[in-house]
Amino acid sequence: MRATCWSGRNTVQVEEVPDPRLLTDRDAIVRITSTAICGSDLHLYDGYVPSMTKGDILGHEFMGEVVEVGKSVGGLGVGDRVVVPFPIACGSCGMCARGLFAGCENSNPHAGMAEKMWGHAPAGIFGYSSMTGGYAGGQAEFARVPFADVGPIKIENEDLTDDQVLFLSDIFPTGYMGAELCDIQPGDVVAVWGAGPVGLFAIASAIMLGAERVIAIDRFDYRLDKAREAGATDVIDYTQVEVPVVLKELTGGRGPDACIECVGMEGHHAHPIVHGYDRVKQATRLETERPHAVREAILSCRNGGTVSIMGVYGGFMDKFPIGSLMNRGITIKTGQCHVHRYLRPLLARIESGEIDPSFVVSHHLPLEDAPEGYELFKHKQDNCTKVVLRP
Amino acid sequence: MTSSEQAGAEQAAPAVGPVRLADALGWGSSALGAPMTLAPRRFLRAIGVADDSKAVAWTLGVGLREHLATLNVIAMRQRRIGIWSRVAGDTMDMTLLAAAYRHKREDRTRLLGAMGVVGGLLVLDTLTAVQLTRADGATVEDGSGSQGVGADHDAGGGPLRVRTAVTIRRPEQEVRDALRDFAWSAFDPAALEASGELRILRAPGDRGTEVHLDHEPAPRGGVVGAAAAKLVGKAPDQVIHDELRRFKSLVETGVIARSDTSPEGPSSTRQIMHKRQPAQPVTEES
Repeated sequence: MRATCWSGRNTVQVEEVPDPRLLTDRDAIVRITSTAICGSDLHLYDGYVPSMTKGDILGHEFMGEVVEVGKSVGGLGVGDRVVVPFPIACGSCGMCARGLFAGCENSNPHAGMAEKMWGHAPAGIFGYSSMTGGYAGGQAEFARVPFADVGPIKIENEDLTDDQVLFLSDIFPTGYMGAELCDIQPGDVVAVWGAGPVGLFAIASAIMLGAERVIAIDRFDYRLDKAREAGATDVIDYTQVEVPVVLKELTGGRGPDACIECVGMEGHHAHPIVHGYDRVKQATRLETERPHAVREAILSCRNGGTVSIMGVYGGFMDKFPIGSLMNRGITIKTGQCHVHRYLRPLLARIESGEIDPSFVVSHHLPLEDAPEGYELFKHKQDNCTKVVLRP
Repeated sequence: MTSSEQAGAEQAAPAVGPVRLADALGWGSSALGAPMTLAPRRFLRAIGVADDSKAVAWTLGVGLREHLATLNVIAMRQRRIGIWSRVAGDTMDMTLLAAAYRHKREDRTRLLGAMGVVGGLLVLDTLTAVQLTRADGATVEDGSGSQGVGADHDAGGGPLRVRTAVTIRRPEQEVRDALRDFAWSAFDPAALEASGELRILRAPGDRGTEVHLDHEPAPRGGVVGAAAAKLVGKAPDQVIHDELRRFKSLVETGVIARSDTSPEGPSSTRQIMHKRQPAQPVTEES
């Protein structure tokens, strides 16, 4: 089959690789109809995620048709149209029992590697380095889906297009969880750093969950326009103004009740010296992150407010504002998304017409053009917000 | 799944002994190395040595060595090794200065002064290195180089002991039955339970059953064999952790979780050798 393979920093290639086959009785094989490039794939592309190997198949946002099932996979049959969550979860361990699917204790066979860096290991993730299990990803013609009776959700409504349901695999639930973690109350003002796809879904979700105002922060006009489309009441271009000052003004001096960080380890800062400081430390591996948005979110949040971190981080950051966090009683909530628990409720919201996730898509490309898709998305060329690949 | 002791500290030597003095000496290396690498000719003139090209080359080399010593002591936290390497460096410097005194002397007073400083450093470095070595001998190294955690070595290089625990979300009887039926290669659970090295406890709340292991595997292959086994992920503690993970997965899910890079399930070997096998579908059962 054809698959998008990582072949070193800033390089992906669509290559011929072996077809997947069942490895356990709880596996299924899915023929992929749509698969997307995620912002977190860019961290792999840019070489900031450790334990990548040349030839790794990328991709953790995919959907398609079941073509083969293991004999212990109940509730799923050949021909079913499914969306597959990006974390792999067994459904039976202590974490899965609590609904913490992204913390599954069984799905990461390379847990020992992750424990060395992170203390404990998260769940396995498709196409996301050896440390998260070493699973082949879904930017390919086929994928093997472990614990197929736990993760994939069947899409039985034929009126729904792939673009409308594909993002149940990651970015819609991730953005939604970012908003849900903030325990939004009526009248709340929510600020969202980053108007990429996850940020856009966080904005839309914050509105759905009852926020009075949602403020989007980015540096690209076209993304800020998308943010308004998603429901943002105010937008801030952080290259033009000082974000904490503007947020104070917009909130009567209180600061936002909740701040959702949807930027991650490759953030930018408008001030060249501040940006340069973390850029140099990251390039020389003295820290793994450029955590401008996390710092700014903590400093901007109102006393006792919540900061939810949805952007991806890998290791250790510098200059963490613990003093502001502690003295003002800020709560931080974060996590890889427990996608499984959001699948049904969010599908219901799509079916009811409350949201149409396809609004984030800017580009459709054939799988063979994946390298071009990565470049478009990375450099924000051609007003790119989201690339969907069709194998 | 396992209890962690000093996770992430596997590279660092324990912080015992004259740590501050060692770090000061470590930084001092670069303080001395900076003028050698940035302005070698001026440095040579300052210590009263003729600044011909051979002397400049030696000065650059020694300066570079000084920076490496700082990296070793400060960045890598290898204080004991770093300070002993300084002792070797001081000895080399004394030899070089003595050679310079004979062949390239320009200012006798300055050169003797430089030899005095290096002599003093040699004494200080030696005393520090000896104290660091003594202090290291009395400490316990926890989990160094193990996959997963919980392996430790007794003071004085005693036998490898594996202390670990795993929680299985199943009732005790089911876990006991499964323990008996699983194909263990690393240990015999019945024998270890009899000797008190394996304990089965009920986890608090509805969390299932805890299997605790505090076990000294029989040594195999001596020091060389043990080191070789570790390198390929087959040391006793690595095999024990792999088997406990497979056991947990099998009991809780009915299958052993397999990925494309670890088609046989959790494997320390695959994690060490992961660069050899990209995450692509495997072609045949391995």
